[in-house]
Amino acid sequence: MEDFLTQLTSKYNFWAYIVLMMVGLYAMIAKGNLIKKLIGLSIFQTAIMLFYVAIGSKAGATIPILRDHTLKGVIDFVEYINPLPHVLMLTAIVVSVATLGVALALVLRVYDVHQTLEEDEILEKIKNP
Amino acid sequence: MKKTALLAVILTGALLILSMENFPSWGDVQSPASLHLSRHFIEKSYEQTLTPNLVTAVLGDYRGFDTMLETVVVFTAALACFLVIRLPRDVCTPGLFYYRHTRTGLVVRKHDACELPGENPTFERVDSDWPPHDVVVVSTCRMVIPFIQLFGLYVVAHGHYSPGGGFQGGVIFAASYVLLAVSHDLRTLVHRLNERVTHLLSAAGVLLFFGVGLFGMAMGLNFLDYGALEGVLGMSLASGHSLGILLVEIGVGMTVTAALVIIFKLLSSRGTVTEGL
Amino acid sequence: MHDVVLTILPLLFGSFLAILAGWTRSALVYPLGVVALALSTGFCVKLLLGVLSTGTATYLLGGWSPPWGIVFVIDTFSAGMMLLISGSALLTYLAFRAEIIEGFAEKTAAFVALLLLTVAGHMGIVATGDLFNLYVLIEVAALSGYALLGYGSGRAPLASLNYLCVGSVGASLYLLGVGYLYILTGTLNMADLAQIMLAAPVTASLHGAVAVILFGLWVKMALFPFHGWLPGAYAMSSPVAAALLAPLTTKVMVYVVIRLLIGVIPGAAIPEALPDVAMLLGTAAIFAGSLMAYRQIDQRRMIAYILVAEVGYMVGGMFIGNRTAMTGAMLHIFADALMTLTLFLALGSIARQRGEMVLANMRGLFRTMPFTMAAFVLGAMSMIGVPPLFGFFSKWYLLSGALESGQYLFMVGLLVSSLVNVVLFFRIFETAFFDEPGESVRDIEHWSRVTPLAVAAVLLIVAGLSSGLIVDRLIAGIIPASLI
Repeated sequence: MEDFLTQLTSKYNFWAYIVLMMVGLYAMIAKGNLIKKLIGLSIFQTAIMLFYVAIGSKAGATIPILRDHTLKGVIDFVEYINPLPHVLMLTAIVVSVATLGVALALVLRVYDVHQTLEEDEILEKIKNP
Repeated sequence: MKKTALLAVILTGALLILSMENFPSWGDVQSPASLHLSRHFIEKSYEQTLTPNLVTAVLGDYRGFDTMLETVVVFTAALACFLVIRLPRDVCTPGLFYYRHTRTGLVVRKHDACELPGENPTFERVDSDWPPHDVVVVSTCRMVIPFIQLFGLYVVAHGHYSPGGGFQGGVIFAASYVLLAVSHDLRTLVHRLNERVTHLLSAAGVLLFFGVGLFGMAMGLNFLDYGALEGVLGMSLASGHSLGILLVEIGVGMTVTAALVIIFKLLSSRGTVTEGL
Repeated sequence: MHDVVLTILPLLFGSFLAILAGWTRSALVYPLGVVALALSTGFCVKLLLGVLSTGTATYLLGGWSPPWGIVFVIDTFSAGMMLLISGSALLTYLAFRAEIIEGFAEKTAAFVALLLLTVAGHMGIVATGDLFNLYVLIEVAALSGYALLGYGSGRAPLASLNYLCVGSVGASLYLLGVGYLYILTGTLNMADLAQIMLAAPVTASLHGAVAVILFGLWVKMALFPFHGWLPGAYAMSSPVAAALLAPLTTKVMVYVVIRLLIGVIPGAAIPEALPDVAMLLGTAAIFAGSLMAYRQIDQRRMIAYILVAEVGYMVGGMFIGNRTAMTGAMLHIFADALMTLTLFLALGSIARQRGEMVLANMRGLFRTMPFTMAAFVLGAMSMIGVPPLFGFFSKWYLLSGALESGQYLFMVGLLVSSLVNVVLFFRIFETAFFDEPGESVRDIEHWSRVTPLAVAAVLLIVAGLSSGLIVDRLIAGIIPASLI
């Protein structure tokens, strides 16, 4: 039990991302409104970004921009947090924004065709036009 | 349906929680993720690229191909929105149009008009249910917008030394145009920055990035090797890399600005790019 | 020296130029696309010949050596895939010349640019040796694909939006799995990762990472029960987009899984239950796909469901766990792509003349469009698995691999789906052969459409006859010796 508790406390960042991710996934599966589904997708992707950023953290380190006094001397990697996850997530953020833009464009077209954004109403209209 | 969804979600979450058993604790300095690649980047990248901001160095140089593709993704999104929702230019989309008599302030409503009348000094177009322009909003935004744009340029240019870079700066720059459209109307924005210009600008941005890559090939190195800039203006290898990152960031900034403005215009006007908001 | 990257650069460059041309000289847009695709195909041929003579080629992007930078790694199998992708895209592009120029009016430039980008994305997925770069390339390929499939009237946007949601979740799960591997090993480069994973302790987290990655890729490749988006997306969209993407998307994802399985993830890191789950899903996909295909009225939708079954073939083949079945799965990627291409090109030509693709609209086609129908028959026969067409050989490898390992249910699935395909396609042949075409029918076969189609159909025979050569030269060397 104690083991479990230490596990829980030393890794609470991972718990947070999993809970957030599942909220997003639930919205995507269970919500009928297309916009709500897209919001779920955004939450889902954001949770993964949080996970990556958490990988980059180091206890007692600062942001990965070298300070003047270290430029001349030896750079100690313990002083700066890991820049790589930040780089990767910059890319992932851009990708998710782009995906959201395209998705909203498609939603607009769907609305033009079916005059509704509720999935069950759309299916109803397809069945009995 | 909702219960099955909930069950599936809880099950997935439980599996994910079980699978993080062997992860290092949060903030562990000796975890594999902080050692292998990351250590090399922190210790070596300044002498190789002369860029104190490590994120910019890795993003623009070591993983420059990723960044190019990421710019391509933004470019793709703009094209995708254009392809999916842009209405054909020659098709009439009838609607209500409002005109205000400039002297008296009376608003005239016109039904089912397709042809937009040309410039007319006595009447001006106004948006449908939009109140007459608020002087406070308009003049405040007019004063703020240039500063936002200046800040955007600063963020692009200063990405080497502080948080920033092409994406961030490009987004800030695009936000200034969105503010212009929100405070005035979309027509003002289109008048300033028409469709053709935004599309050409978005392509030019990726082409600049691509061109830096091709320059490397032309100098006998690999694609995107900024080492090719060594010797240009008498620069050392590392400052060549630094300049390469700057050029690339400018290209990224151009594409991001243009693409976001394209997407904003298309979405807010439902594909007509003249009306809306 | 630059062969590896030169296969993709013309496509990217072409797409940027297409936009510039579209707003200045729109007549240049279509030829620009032809030039870009032809250049890319040419460099792919050169690359394949180079790889065959000198072995695996690598290219350091930005000049940084791995694992610090991003590399492209091309072995014989991936060189073959690259050629397949660019070649099939070129054939589609040439065959649908009229639709591309007329069908999109002022959006032609955007369409051509997106088409080039999606091809570039798919080729990059095959080429890259970096796990995160793979994610970005997946998104480049997918995002442009959503737009191409979503352009159309009626239900196309909804189908594409559906695809977008499912596809984004799949890609995000893949990204999550990459994050898991990164936190455990500290690297993103595939070769480096393979080294580290061999030495790494096998833990629950490692199993979790592999499971999440594979799960995400299964979602992307439309493996049953995640196949819901595929039939809608391919049947509702414009025929150009369907013919372009149907041969590529699922096959490239299958390629990624195979590459990870044989080159990166050591056997110990794969959770024990995973192969069984994969076999189960693969077999279920075959049965479900065939059953659903049988119930369709629209012929494009029917072929889309057959694609769902084909994904089952390949997933089953790669998880059976012996050399023969793996060879079969890899060969089937080529075979499936080629025959899907043939069928969709033929259906595209027919749809242009006859409109909606229901059986009643296919009367008398053998008389009015003999060449198109001949190619269609070849594609269909290959789908069924008639020797000496390509589809027969890959199916043969899969069947014998399943027999070796005693996977009898999978074997039954393969045979049943072949039988269902017989029924499905002979239904079409019967209508098209025996029924009279209507009075008002005026079908035209233009050489510009028939030639690309004929090339694809002839390739089915040629590749079938030389399938032994393909296995020897392209595939056999890639499968690790440990897999018996």
